[in-house]
Amino acid sequence: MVDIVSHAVIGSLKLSVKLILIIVPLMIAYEFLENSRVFNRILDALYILLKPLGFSKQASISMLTGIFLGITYGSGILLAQSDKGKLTKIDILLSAVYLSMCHAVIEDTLVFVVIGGNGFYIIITRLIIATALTYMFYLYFKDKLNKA
Amino acid sequence: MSIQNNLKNGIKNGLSVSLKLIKVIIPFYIATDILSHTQAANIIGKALAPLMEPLGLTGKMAVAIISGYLVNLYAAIAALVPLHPTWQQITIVGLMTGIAHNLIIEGAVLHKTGTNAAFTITLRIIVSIVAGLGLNAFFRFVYG
Repeated sequence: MVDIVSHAVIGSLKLSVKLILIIVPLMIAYEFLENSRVFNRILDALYILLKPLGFSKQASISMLTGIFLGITYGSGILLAQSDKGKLTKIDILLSAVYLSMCHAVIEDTLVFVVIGGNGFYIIITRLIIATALTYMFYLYFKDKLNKA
Repeated sequence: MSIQNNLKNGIKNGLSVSLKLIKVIIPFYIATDILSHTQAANIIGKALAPLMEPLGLTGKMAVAIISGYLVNLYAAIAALVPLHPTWQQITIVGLMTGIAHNLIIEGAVLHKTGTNAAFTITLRIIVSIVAGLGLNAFFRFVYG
């Protein structure tokens, strides 16, 4: 029994250390990126990709945060923008569908890569699913929700 | 100045994420690792094995998926690692729980932006299962 418990404790500590070593540098890199000039260009590039799916330019800011950092951060910005009346109903619906399928993709995927998964398959599948599903929702709802 | 700030904020954010993760990983990992050595785990594993088989997972790995759905990815990882998964199994669980995780809390957050929580939760669970089945079929086709 002591063997089993100490095996479990050591295993869990090893995994924790491994994850810290990946996540801290990642967050430092994101901080540099977010405060650099490249960030705005990424935003523009993302808008080019999101526009055909029905998103407005305003939505791409919260989308960028959501795709990279996760629902909680992304929705925080989404919420702030929808309170300001900057987003349309269809923006909110499409953002929710897209972000439900595809958010925090870098961090989430990396933690599985750390334990031995294949990150390429995880990210590519999530991007394809999110894009296809959002487009389906856009086609279905574009005339039903206000476009104002 | 700005470099120092970026470093400082990055380290701060990184450590706060790591702390959140460790708080979940350590108890879940220890619980799963110990449980996996008991007879109960074998019984549950055998009962769920037929359901997990189309996903390319073993019965015990159902615990990882459910932990992921209800808690978060770190709980899923903590429940998965002690079971010695293959890289395909890690990737499938990563995809499934990546799409659907922390469903209750994230459902509530999305609900606030004006999207029905029951809708996003149902959608995410269904899509995650379909995605898992698809990826497993793909792995079997490509890697045998």
